[in-house]
Amino acid sequence: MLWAILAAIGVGLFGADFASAQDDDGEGTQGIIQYRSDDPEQSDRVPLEGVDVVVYQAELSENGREVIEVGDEVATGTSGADGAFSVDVPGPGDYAVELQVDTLPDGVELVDEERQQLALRLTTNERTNVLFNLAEGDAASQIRGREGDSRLDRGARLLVDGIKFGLIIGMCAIGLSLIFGTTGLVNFAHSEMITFGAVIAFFFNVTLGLHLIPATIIAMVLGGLAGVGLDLGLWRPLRHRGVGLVTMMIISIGLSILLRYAILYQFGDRSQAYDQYAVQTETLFSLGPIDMIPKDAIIIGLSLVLLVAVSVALRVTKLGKAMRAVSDNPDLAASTGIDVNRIVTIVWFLAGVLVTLGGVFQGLSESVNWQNGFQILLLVFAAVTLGGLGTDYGVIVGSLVVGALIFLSTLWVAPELKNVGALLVLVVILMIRPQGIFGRSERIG
Amino acid sequence: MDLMDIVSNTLRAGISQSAVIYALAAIGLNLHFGFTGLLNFGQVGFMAAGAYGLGITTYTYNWPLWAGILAGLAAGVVLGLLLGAPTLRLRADYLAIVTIAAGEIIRLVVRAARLRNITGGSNGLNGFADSFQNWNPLDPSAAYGARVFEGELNLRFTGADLWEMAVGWSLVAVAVFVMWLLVTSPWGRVLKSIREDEDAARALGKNVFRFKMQSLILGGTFGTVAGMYFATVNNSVQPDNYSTPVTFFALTAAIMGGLGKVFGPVVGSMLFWMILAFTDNLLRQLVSEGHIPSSLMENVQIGQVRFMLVGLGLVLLMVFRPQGVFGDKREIAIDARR
Repeated sequence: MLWAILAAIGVGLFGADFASAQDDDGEGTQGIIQYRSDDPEQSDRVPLEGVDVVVYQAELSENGREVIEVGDEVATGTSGADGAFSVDVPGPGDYAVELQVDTLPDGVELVDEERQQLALRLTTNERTNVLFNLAEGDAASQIRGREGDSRLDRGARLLVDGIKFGLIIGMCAIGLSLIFGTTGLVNFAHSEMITFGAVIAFFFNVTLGLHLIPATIIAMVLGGLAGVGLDLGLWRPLRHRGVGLVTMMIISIGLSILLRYAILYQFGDRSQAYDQYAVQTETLFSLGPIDMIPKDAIIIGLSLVLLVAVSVALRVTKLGKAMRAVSDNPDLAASTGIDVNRIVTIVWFLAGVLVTLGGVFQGLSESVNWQNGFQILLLVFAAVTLGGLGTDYGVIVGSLVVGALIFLSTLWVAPELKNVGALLVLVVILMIRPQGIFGRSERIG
Repeated sequence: MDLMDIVSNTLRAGISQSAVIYALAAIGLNLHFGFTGLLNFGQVGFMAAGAYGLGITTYTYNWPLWAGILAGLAAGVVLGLLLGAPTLRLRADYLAIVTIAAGEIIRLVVRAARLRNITGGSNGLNGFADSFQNWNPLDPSAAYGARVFEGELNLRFTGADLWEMAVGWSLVAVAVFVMWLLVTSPWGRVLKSIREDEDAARALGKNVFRFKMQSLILGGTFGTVAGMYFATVNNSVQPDNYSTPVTFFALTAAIMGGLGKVFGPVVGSMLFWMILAFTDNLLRQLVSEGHIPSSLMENVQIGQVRFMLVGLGLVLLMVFRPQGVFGDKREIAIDARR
């Protein structure tokens, strides 16, 4: 996640390129060694011949994006006249690709010296591109200057990343919160609704070749229908049988396991990228140290608009008021003539639509993987709990706080521990203020 | 189609070390959930506490194995106190989320690269329990047992396996006996009364919080023992073996056997692993003999089908038979407290 975003923000120059091609040539890695010239007239990058790369066995971080420890050397490669190199490795696994700096011509250097080794996680027959960010002396320091390693600049960029991640969490969380509010169900299978959205969009986008935008719209409709299907087919009959909330929660755990492995069965365990917008290098606008790329701007803008719109609609529209009434007291709502079942089904539809878009956004800012939803489920819980279960605007605030906290914490702690802070906040909030920031205390049993 | 092969593998899975581990973990969950009504979704955290308590002291600090076991038990108790003190007053679903988060925090912290010198990072710790195998009175590589039914049914085990299984099932027997003593005691009756109606128990002058804390720690201790056994028989501790789904699988086993019954989790765990082994072996043979076309299912997907069945099984159990095999429906008052 962090690397994907850093790669996008650091003018798209450094970090691994996760686009991968599937064929049966065995596992390996390839790339083009090229550098950015000092010559301002020369906008294209210049390929370099005769630069060596070495591939090692390596231990990677859990998400496979950072090298933790390097082991034995397994293969080497040298770039040709066009700067391209290609290296085969003995099999699927975790590797580190190292650029041999001493084979670079004088004056050309790595923009970020810590990125001399790039992480490489390969599944069967996967070939992944890696990209070393090279530049001539002056250009390198210029890029570094723009990247401005001051803590404040880094903090500002991390804050934007955190807000983006928080809004993605918010898109996933608001459905969970609405469902909890109207039915009392703590839905562990919500994580699979996130993944389902991302994967269905992937199916229409990559497998069927549709552009991502119509693919996402179709996926949102299907996600909403899936929510309705779950409600009508499973949860409503259970509610009518008077099945208790804890039993329903455990059922949702079973459902989550079933759906997660069903998605794995169909989708496979490989992380994949959408056909459009996967790698964006051009910046939409710059604001101080922040270079905003178009897809991040869209994710942030669209999520914010939708979340606020839902929040306002809950207050203003007749349907929204009915939803809040059902949240407050289903029996009382029913006695005022509200069709509670209909409202709950609409809530499931709305939740399915929003969570699908959240899932697509997550797939877009990282990659599409069968565990996408499961990996952020606890963070979604944290956001919902922080804001107050069943409160809509609280969820938005809670999500933003959780997102910002996760990213800003990397200023102080190792990136692999960034989720720990958010989980600790979840634990602490539940201990000292279980109703959340905005929740009312009488909701708590 | 080798039917006897499937049968013997299924039987072997039912008494395997995995069945022991999940039986012990599920016994703890049964005390929490089946007898006290506590929804502990972080049992894997207790397992990790035991495994790492044992692994860190014996591997990193070279303590003898018995001292490491004491350290593991102590780690579990400390975790129970830390977890229980602030959370036991919470509603059931909130307790569930806090305990899940706690288990996940433990896993993320022990696999952190910064703690590599102590916990081994994502590699974990390996080779600290050699003395456990040295105590084995049997020859670890020799085969014991017999092939029965004219050699069709393979019930032969290596000495190492047999030793591990003997120790494991002895632990389970002790755990079951302790559970039986606990739940038939006045103390156990208080737990059940808390499960049925916490306010009534409080009105009768019972310190509900204290009883819940005792239940959490004791049940957690069974989880701790499960974790230590896991670490000892594998002779290693790997952080990613202690992820959230382990708790859910143990919970599935406990529910399958029957919550609120002393033997429920043990039978549940054996059934759980037998069902997994049966479906795995059956599908593997069907695929390799071409009864299931490879376009529909490949070998790597068989494991995934198993887990889909686990999920489906949990759903069906909770919908149609929440009391499991042995349980009494009236005793499954898991929803007594809303």
